[in-house]
This record gives sequence, structure tokens and C-alpha cells, in this order.
Amino acid sequence: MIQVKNLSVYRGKKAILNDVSASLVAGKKLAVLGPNGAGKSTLLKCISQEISDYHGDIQLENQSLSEWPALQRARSLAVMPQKVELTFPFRAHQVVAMGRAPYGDENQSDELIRQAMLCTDVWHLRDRPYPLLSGGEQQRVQLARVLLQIWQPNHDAGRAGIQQRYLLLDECTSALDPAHQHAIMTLADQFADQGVAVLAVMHDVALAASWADEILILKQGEVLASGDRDLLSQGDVLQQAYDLDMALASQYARQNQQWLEFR
Amino acid sequence: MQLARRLSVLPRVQFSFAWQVGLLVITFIFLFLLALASGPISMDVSQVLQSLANALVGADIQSQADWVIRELRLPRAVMAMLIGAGLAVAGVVTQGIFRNPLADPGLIGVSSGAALAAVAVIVLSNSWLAFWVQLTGTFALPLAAFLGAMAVSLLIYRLGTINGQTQIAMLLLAGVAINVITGALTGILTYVADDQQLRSMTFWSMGSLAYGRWPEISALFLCVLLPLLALPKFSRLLNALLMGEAVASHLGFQVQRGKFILLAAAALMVGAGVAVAGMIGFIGLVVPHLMRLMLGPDHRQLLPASMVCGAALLLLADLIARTWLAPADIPVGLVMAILGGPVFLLLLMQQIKTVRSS
Amino acid sequence: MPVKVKIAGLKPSGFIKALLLLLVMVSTLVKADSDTSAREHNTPPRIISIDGSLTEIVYALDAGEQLVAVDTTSRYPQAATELPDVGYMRRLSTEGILSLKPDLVIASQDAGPAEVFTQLHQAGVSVVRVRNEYTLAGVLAKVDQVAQALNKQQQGEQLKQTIQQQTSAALAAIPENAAAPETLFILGAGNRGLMAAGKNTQAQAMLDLLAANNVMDYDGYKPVSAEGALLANPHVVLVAHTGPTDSDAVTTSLMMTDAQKNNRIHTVNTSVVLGFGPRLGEAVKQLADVLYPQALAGAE
Repeated sequence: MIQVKNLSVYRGKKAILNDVSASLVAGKKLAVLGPNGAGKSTLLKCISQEISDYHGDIQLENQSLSEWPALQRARSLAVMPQKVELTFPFRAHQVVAMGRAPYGDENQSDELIRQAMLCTDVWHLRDRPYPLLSGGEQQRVQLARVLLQIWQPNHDAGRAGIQQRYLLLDECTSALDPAHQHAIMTLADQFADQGVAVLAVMHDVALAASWADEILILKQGEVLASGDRDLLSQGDVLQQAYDLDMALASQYARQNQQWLEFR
Repeated sequence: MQLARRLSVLPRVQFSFAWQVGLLVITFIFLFLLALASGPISMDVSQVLQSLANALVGADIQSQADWVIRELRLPRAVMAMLIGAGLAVAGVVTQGIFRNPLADPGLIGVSSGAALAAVAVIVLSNSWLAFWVQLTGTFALPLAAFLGAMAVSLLIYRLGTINGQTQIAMLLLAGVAINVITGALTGILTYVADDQQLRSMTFWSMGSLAYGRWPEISALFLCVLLPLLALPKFSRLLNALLMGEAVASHLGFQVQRGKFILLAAAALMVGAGVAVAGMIGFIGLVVPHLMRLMLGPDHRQLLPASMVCGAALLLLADLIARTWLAPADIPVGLVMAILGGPVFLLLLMQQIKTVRSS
Repeated sequence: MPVKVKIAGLKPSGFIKALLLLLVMVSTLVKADSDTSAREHNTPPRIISIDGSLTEIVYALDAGEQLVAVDTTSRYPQAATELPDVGYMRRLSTEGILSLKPDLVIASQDAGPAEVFTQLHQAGVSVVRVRNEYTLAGVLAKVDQVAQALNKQQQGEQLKQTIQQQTSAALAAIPENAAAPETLFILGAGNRGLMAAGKNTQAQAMLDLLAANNVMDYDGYKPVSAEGALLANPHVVLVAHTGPTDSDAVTTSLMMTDAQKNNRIHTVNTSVVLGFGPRLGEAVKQLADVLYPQALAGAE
């Protein structure tokens, strides 16, 4: 489990995040929602340790997150960033292979690479140079890489190691068409079924409704609402979160209800 | 069918890599022997092999030909290999850290620091730096150039590192600023220099492998060979860094420590090279590009290939420098520029062609 | 997309082809031989001379035919420019010199780097280093050393006498109580602009010889500006060229000075005037004529 306790992040005098608490439990899918500038990505970056000068505490399995060695973390915690810039002409399969870097077995993982690329539907692109792929294709290649980090439970963790696996996704479906969007979220489901704790920062409320177990809504750096997925079918919550007028909020709430029932 | 498709992923790359590196190594050995066999004084290959054998067993000098090969050409060839390899690999490392195929080790201030120190010794050896010349004797210039290279690189690194985090953008800006300052100081020294000093400076800045002595070559071994042997371990970090430092640290790499070691290694190799041989440009830019076009951007192949190609290229340039206008000796940096400029242009046009056709 | 895709098909890429072609070209280059004439026992020693004035002395001592190579500063007489060039005298190449199979290398003390001479010595070549002192006595001493090295002491004595006589005669023509002219010596250095000579230059040495006053008193050569020249206000200006120079630029820089107003800007021959070699007498006469024109006027 990852527990975020009273997390605050300041940039100058401004609080990007203010006293945010949340938890990431094995097997559960948490969607982090909110308007632009709410601090969603900042929260994710704190958990991935990309931001390390935060106030408050983040505990990974009862030890402070920053105290875990980077390599151990990399074998249990995989992060899919919002955007990856790669202009050098690596082939797609080489990019995916880098996901095995924490284990050092890139050259012996042909089968795993193939499976991962099949799962995200990029196996047919394996020899194409990464910079020439479309935005969506690149995202799926990155996802395959990220998943490879936690593809299997880490049997070498030992009792002192990290026991669970965690997957952090930062708007990983933003460039994808609906078919691929749902395929990816189904993939995340499969990982969750295996016991992986999944946190996904999202923009698309409907997608969250169709996928998440738990919801965390941030607004202006603070927690607006957190709880079960039913939260999304409540019009007043949506209205407050996104500053929508009531009619629009109710419409979205109804749609989300349908997604909830669709599951 | 699945097996065939799987096999098509990696083995094809490995096969071509082995073939190409094999070719490079053969070319390299050929060039080494050619370098020992060529020069203003004509020499045949059997003499070269004999002398090499003598040198390896440490036999006494047996003839003038033997002496020419062992005392004049061999040190030069060894210097060419070490400096060429060092400059090429430093180029690869710099391009990886700055995530830019146009990056050059000069960005981290190594060359400008060395140049400033060298020019200072040339111009001030009779006045302000007389104590230095007294202290270090004939090694005044190379030692000063090396220290200058290290000092300026360290300064730029410190400026670009905030709270223990080296930020590439800051590093770049610091490099630009410091390079401007060292350039200005060098300019002032140029202004007060007399004719003879000006000529010395000009020749130093054109680079030459003719004046390396065995103590300097031993220092080169230390400063170039050791980093060269240690760097392949960082191939995977360099690969990951190309996707950004965030991704690299997500993958479990020690990014800050890695960047420091990589930058230090690059500074050491280039600093030692420039200190001993003066400015030799283009290798750090052209060789990584060439190797990337031939072998792809994976550093596990790029680093060793660049090492071999850089050494071979400088051997070739030095060979031309010695024989083209014999008995005069052209500065090798000049030959590199004459070779490097058109080659770089060719690479650029190749790049444009491939971008247009895709 | 990238070129490398073809390589797996065992077809050499364009780059490898180019590399092989370059290697073949270079191998043919290497076949080029330098002079391999065998040295017989009684032939006179093969000489390489490094410094313009030393080369002039070698020719003046009638040993020009023994020269096999010279350096870039040896441009007089014409025959010297047709000999192979061992390069800039401060950046010599041991192997380059050895390839010409010299028996004797005569070099100025300023030539370098030092290791080259050590190596030449190790290789069995006789090396004579000659000091450069920019005075009449210095020139005579140079002649002595070179004559000694060439075993032509008799011709050396004669040359010394000639130089001595020419110089004395030229100096004698200067009237006793003539005032020391305020002189500016400019070197037109091609596109590096106009450099004015200060102290510790060969130009200063010549002016000292002729008892003229150098209006500039800094060390070495510095670029001259019109204002600087005006401030110094020389009566005579001597202009030497080491490269093509715009004569208008010279006049512009010297606008309103006494020298320009009185039309006393004179071009002199660099090689003669700054050479400090056998043509010293000629140099002194050239300068004396322009620095002390009353001597000419008062002459018969």
C-alpha cells in the first residue's frame, strides 16, 4: 500500500498541493480527477519521486518512499509519464526493451517484450523508428515499456523488499481513440486483478466512471472529494469540481451512472 | 511462424553489428600499420613489424629506421589512437546527456578552459606565469591546459547543478556564459601578445600530434584509457537518459551520480587530449553521428564503435598531416577540419534526404 | 528509413565504400618518396638552413648548392624559395628534416621545438645553433659561426669585411651633428592591419644602429591608430610590408603628422631592412638615405 499523508508542494509562495491525503491499495484502481491546474500530475510526480521537495509524507509499505533504493522501487513501481520526448531513432521494440532495465535482462526478454507489445497493440510496429510513430502509437509503446517493469511479481523482493506492485498512469490515453482507450483500461484492469495497485490521472470523467474503483477529485491543490466510484454520478460533486452549471453537471452525472451500470 | 517473427527482432541487428565492428577493427589495424609505415622517410612493412616486435620485447634501438618507427612514429600513432577514441566517446556522452545530436564536448567548457590556460602560458610565461614555467619546466603548457580544462568544466558543472540536481538547461546556459568569458580573456591575451606568441597560439589552436613525449603519453593512458574502459557500463543509462531524466530515474538508474560521472569522464578525456595535442575539432561531432547512422542510437553498440572509429579517423588524419606536404608537418587539427567539414555536410544532406523520403 | 537497414542484406553501405576508397587513395599517397639520392663519400655535406639570415649567409659563402632545404622565412635569394620547405621554424618536424638526409642543420637559436634538435642529434645529424643578436657585431658573429660550420673560414672573413665596410661607409655618410629623427616604423601586416614597432623589435635595433628615435616606447608590435600616430607625431615614417597592404590605409593612419605633411613616408624593403644578414650594409644605407636626407643633399 502507498499512503499519502498531508502532502503539500510549494512553488514559491503558491501551494500547488495543500494537505492532500490518499491511499493506493493493492488490487484497487484509483482515478485522480479534477480541472486543469488542480495538481493531479503533481500528486503523481510526488509518488513517483520526480518531485522530492514536498512537505508531508508518502509511505510505501510502511517505509518512507524516499528511503527505498531506486532500483528496488523501479522493480515494483512503474510510472507512465504524460509525455516522453525521444528524438533519437530507436526502434519501437528497443524502447519497450528498456522497460527491463531494472532487471538488466533486456537481451533475454524477447518473449516478454512480444507479449507486452501485443497487449498494447504495437507488435506490428516493432521495427519502426519510434520518432516516426503517431502520438497514439508512441503512447502505446511507452505503456508496453512501463508494463514490462512490473510484468511479473518480483519474486526476488524477499521479506525486506517491496511486496506489492504499483502502476502510476499520467493521462496515458489522451492521444488514443476510444477503442484503444478502452483496450488500455482493460489491460490496467488485468493488472489490478493480479494485485497491482493502479493510480490513473485522468481527464475523461466518463472513462473514469467506466473503469475506476475509487475516485479522488482535486481542485486547486486540495482534495474536493474522495470515495467510491458512485461519486461520479452525483451532479453536485461534478458541478463543484468542474464549475459546471447545474444542467450540464446533471447530464454528466446521468451519463456516468449509465457507465457505472454498463460495467 | 511466431518464432520466425520473434527471431526477426534482435538477431538481425546483432549480426550486422558484429559485421560492421569487425570491419572497423580490421580497418583500424590496417591504419595503425599504415601509420607506422608511412611518413616522409620511406619504410617497408617488414621493417615496421620488426620494430613493433622490438618495441614489445624492449630491445635496443637497432638502426635509424628502427629508431624512426619506435621513437617518432609509434608515440604519434599511440597518441592518435588514444586522443581519437577519447574525443569520439566524449562526443557520444555529451550528445547523450544533452539529448542532442549536435552537442559537442566544447559545451561543457573543456576546450575553452584548456585554450585559455594554454594562451596564458604562451603569453605570460615571461611575466606573471614565470613561476609556473619554473615549477613545471617543459610541461608548463600541457599541464596548465589540463588544469584549465578541468577547472572550467567543474565551474560550469557547479553552476548548472542546483540543490544536487544537475539541470541540463542550466548546464547549457552556464556553458555558454563561461565560454564567452574565457573567450574574452583569451582575446585580451591575444591582444597583448607579440608576433611570435601569436604564431605559437595559432599553431596550438590548430592541434598537432608531433610533440608528444612519453610522459605525456603515459598521462594520456591514465586519463583516456581508464574512462574508456569504464564507460560501456553506462550504456544503458545513456539509452534511458535519451527519454528524459524522469524516465531514467523511474527505471531505477542513479541519474545524478551517473551524469556527474559521465560529464567528468568526458571532461577528463577531452582535457587530456587538448592539453597534449592542442585543439582537434570535429571528431566529437562527426564520429558519433556517423556511427549512429550506421549502427543506430543504442549506446551499447555506439560506444565501442565510436571508440574504434575515432581512433582510426585520427590515425588517418595524422597520416595525411605528415605526408601531404612533407617535409613540412601540417597541424592535424587543420586536416581534421578539412576532412570533417565536408563529411559533416554529407551527413547533413543524407539526413535531409532520408527525412524527405519518409 | 535510415541507411543502416541495407546493411543486414550484406551490401556495404555507402559510407563503408567511401571509407575504402579513401584508404586506397591514401595508400597511393604513401608511396610518394622523398629524395633518395645515395650519398657518396667525397660529396660535400648536405645542409638544411633554418632562418632567413642564415640562409643568406650560406649563399653568400658560396655554399648554396649544398642546401637541400630551407624554412619558410628563407626567401632570399630567389634560389632559396625553390628548395623544399621544412615548415615554420618554431614548429619543425624531426622526421621531415631527416627524410632529406641532411648532414648539417644550421638553425637560429629561436628555432624549435627543442626536442626536434635533440632528436636530430640522436639521429646523428650535426646541429649548429646560431644566436640572433640584432647589432652589427651580432651579424658578424653569425657569419663567423656559419663559416666555421661550413669550414669556409676564409670566405667568412671576406664576407665579414665586406659587411663591415658597407655598414661603416653608410653610417659615415650621416653628418656629425644631425639631430636624431623622430621615427615611426610601421609593418604592414596584410589584413592584420598596420602594426607599429616599439622596443625590443628588430626595427628598434635598426633605428638604434642609425641613431634614430623611435616615437613608440611600448614593447613589441602594436596596432597603430590615426590618433596614436598624431600624438606621437613622427617626422619620418618607415613602412615595411609583409603582405599586400592598402597604401591608402597607411596615409590615412598618418594624417596630419609631420611626416605626412612633409612627405616623409618611405617604403622600405622588409627582407633587407629587418633581415640582419649579409645585406646589413645595404639596409643601413637605405635607411640612412631616408632618415638623413640632408646627407644626400650635402653629398657631392
